[in-house]
Amino acid sequence: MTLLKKIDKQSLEALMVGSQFLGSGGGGKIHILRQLVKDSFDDSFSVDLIDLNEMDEEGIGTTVGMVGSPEALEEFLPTGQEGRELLEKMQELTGKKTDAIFTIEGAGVNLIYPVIVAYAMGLPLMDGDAMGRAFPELPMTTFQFNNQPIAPIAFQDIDHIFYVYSDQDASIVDLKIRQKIAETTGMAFFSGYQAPFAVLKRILIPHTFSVGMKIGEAFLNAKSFEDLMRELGHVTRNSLYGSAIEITRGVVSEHVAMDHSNIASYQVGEYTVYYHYENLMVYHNKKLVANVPDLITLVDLDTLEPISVTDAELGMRVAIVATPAPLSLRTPTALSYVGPKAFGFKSAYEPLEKIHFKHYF
Amino acid sequence: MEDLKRLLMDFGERAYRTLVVFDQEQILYTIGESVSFDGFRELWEKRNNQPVGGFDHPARVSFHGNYGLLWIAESFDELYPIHLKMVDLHVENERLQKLQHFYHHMIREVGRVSDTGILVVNEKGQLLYENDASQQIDLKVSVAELVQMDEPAPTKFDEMIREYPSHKIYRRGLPDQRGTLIFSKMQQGEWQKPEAYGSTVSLERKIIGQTSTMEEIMNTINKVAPTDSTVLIRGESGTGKEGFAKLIHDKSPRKDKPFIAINCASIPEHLLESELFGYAKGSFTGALKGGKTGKFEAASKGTIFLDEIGDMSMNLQAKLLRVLEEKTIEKVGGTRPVKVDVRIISATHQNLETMILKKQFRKDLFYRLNVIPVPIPALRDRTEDIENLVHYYIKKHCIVNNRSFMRPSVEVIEKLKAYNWPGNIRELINVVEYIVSTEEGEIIAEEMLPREILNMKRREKSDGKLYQSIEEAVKRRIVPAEKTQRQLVKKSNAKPRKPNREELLKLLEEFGYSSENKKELAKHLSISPATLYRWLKKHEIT
Repeated sequence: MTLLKKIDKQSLEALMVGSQFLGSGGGGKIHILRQLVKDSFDDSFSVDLIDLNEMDEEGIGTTVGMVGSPEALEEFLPTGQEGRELLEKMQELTGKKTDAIFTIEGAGVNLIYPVIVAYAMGLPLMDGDAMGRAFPELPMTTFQFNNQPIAPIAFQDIDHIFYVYSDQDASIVDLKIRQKIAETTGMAFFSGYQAPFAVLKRILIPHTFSVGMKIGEAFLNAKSFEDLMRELGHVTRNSLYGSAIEITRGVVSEHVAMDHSNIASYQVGEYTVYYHYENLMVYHNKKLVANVPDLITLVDLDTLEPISVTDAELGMRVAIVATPAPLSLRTPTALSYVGPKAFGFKSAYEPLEKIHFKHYF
Repeated sequence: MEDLKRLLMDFGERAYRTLVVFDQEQILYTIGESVSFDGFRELWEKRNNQPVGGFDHPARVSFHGNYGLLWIAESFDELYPIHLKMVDLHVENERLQKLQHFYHHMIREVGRVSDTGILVVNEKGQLLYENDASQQIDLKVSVAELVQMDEPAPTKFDEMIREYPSHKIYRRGLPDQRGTLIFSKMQQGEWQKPEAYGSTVSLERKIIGQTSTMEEIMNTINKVAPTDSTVLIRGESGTGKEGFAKLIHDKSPRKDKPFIAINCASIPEHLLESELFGYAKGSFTGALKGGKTGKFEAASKGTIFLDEIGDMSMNLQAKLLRVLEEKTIEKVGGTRPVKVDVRIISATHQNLETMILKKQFRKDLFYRLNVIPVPIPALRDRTEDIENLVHYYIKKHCIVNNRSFMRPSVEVIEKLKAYNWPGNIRELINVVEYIVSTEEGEIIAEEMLPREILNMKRREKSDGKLYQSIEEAVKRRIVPAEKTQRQLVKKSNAKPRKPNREELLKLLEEFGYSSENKKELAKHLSISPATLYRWLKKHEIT
C-alpha cells in the first residue's frame, strides 16, 4: 500500500466513509456533502494531495471548514463558493495568498469540505490535519498544543455575512463564534489558522486524508465485520494511529441523550459509552476500556458503516471499535486539551495499548 | 564460599535434581545426582540463566562470583520459579539498595526464558514488566484487582492466591515494596514449551509494513504456510527472520505442535549435531545415561527453524540433507534411523550462492532448503515504514517505561528515514528504547539521536555501494538510461533557479501534466510540489 497522492471521485466516496470513522461519533453528518458530490462532480473530479514531508518551507497554507450544530449543517447545502470567498477575505486581511488548503479537523464534514473548496479553487490540499480525528472545540488542535497563532479567523454565515476575530486564543474565538451562530443561522463557514508551510509541516498530523481514504475503502469493501476488522487493522496499524480493535459487539439497550452542552451516554451490552459530541469514554462494569483522545467509533453491524452518536438507536446491533490516537494527541500538553480531564472526567488518560497491552505488544 | 554452600544447602538439595558448582577448569562439587561433563570453558562464556543443552533434564547455568552453577531440574517448570526464590533470598539477606537493580534484572532474565507468566505491577496496578509467556495465559482477572486485594501481598513465593482449571496465580510484594510480582502457571498438562509461544493473530497484528515488498512477503507466507514445503528466509541481521518463520508455523496446520528454533551459529559444531539429532544412551563419556532427545525429535509434527544455516559445517550439511531426503534422523552413537515428521524453515544473512561456489555450502542442500525463498527486505529499503515503526515503538516504550508520551520532530523522522540502518529493525528498536528511557520532555529532537545517525553520510543502497556519478549508476543499472539526461542536468547542491514560463511548459511537456508527473517534476527541480503549483499558478499554466 502506498499513500495516495490525489483524490478522485471514487476515493472521495471512500474518504467520506473514512471521515465518519475518524469522526469518533461526531464531526457532523456528511450525507449532505455526499449528495453534493453525487450531483455536482463528474468523473474528472481530481484534487492533488501534498504529502507534508514533501513540502518545502515556503508557501502559505490556510484552513477552511464548517462550524455549528449538526442539525443546522443538514439544512444548508454548501457549494465550495463560501470557501473561495473566505480565502479571498483572508488574503485581504493578511495580504498573503493561499498556496494550499489544509483542514484543522481531519474528520467528518471538515475532512470533506476542504476537498470541495480545493477543487473549486484548483488548489492542492495538504495531507494532514490539526486534530487527527473530530473534537468539539476550536482550541483542541495542534496549533494550541504548539502555541501557534491562529488569528485572524474569518467566519461567514449562510447569509454571506462575514465576522472576523483577531483573538489569538482559540477558546475566546470558539466562545464568540458559538454565541454568534446561536443568535443567527446555527452554522457558519470559516477560514484562518494561516501559516507558512515551514510551520504547518511541523505541527500538522500527517497523512489524515490518505489514511481516511484507506479506512473508507476497508468499510466499502468489507463483506463481513471480521473482514472489516482485518483490513481496518492493517490500514490503521500502518499509520500513525495504531491498530483498531473491537471492544465489544452488542445491542444498544439504553440511550440517555442530553442537550449538546452535557455529557450523555448509551449502553451496549455491559458496556457504557459516554459522549459529548464525540464518544469519549467506554466502561465495562466500571472498568475503563477506552478513552479520549483515542478514537472510539460505533459500527452498525447490519450496514457495516461507522455511525454518529445521534444514530445510536435503541435495539441497533453495533460494535464498539477503538483506535489509538497519534502521538501528537498524547503528549502531556496535548492531553491537557484533549484528554479525559479536559472533558471533565476525573480519571487520567489510559492509552488503549496499555489497557489492551497483549493485543498490541 | 560459605554463603554459597548455605544457599545451595537451603535450595539446591531440596529442589534440584542436580546442582554442580564449577570454575573454568573443573567441577568443584556436586549436590544431588552425580554428573560428569566437560566443556567448562564454553559454559563459562554463557550468560546468566541461559538454558544449557546436553543433559537429559532441563538445565541452565548461572554465575555467582567466581563460581559457575549448573542447575538441573526435573522439569522446566521447576527450573526458573525456584531460581526466583533464590534471588529473593539474596535480596533479603544482602544490602537491599544495591540488589534491587539485580533483582529486577533477574526477573527480566528469568522471564525471558521461563514459561511461567511473570508480571510486575506497581501499586496502582500499572504494568511495569510482562514476559512473553504471560501473553499466552488468560489470567481471567484484572491485574489491578489482584494488586488491590485487601489482603497484603504474601511474602512467600509458593502462596497461591487464585486457582482456575487452566492456571494458578501467585502474588507477592517486591522487596523494595514498590511493586508486586504476579506469576501465573498453567496447570499440569497444559504446559507449552517456551519455543511454542505465539498465536497467529498476535504475531500478524504486530507486523508493520505497507510497502509492496512486505505485501508480497505476506502473500507468499499465506500461500506456503498451509503446505509442508521447506522455506529459506533470507535477509540481513535484525530484519526479524525468526518472527516470519514463526508466522509461517502459526499459519500452518502444524500450529498446535512445537516450533523449535535453533541458531546454528551460536552452538559449537561438535555440540550442534547432538543438539539437532540427540544422542543414544552411553554414547560418550559424560553423556547422560538415558541418552538425549534432539531438536528434530522435539519438533515432531511441528516446525524446526534453523537460523544462520550458512554457519553449518559441511559434515552436518550432509546429515541434514539426509533428513530432508529420507525423513529420518540418526542419533549420535545410534544404530538405527528414527523417523521424523518435521517441517524445516531455515534462514541466513549470508550469500549461499557464493558459498556454493567457494564449496562452503552444498548445492544439493541449497536446492532442498530453497524450495520457497522468502527475502526479507532491509529496513533502508522500506523507508515508507520507518515513520510508522518509530511511532509504534515510541508508544510501546513509553507505556512499558511508564512515562509520558513523546513525539518525534519532523527533522528526526527525516534523519531516521535517511539513515542506513545496518542493524535493521532491531537497531531501530534499540534507538527508540534508548531515547525514551533516557530523555525527558515531549519532543524527540535531533540532538537526542545517536551520533552515528547524526553524523551519517548519505544513504547507501542496499547493495552496499555508493555510486560516484549518475553514469556509474546507469552502468550498474541502478538508474534507467532514459532518465539520465534529466538527472545530469540537475544541480545537486545549488538553490533551484525559478524557470521561466517557456521552460516550465517545456518541462511539463517532458514530464507530463498529471499530478504524479508534476510531483516528479517538482522532485527534479528540488522543490516541493506546492512550490511547483505556485510557480505554475503564477505563470497561469493549468
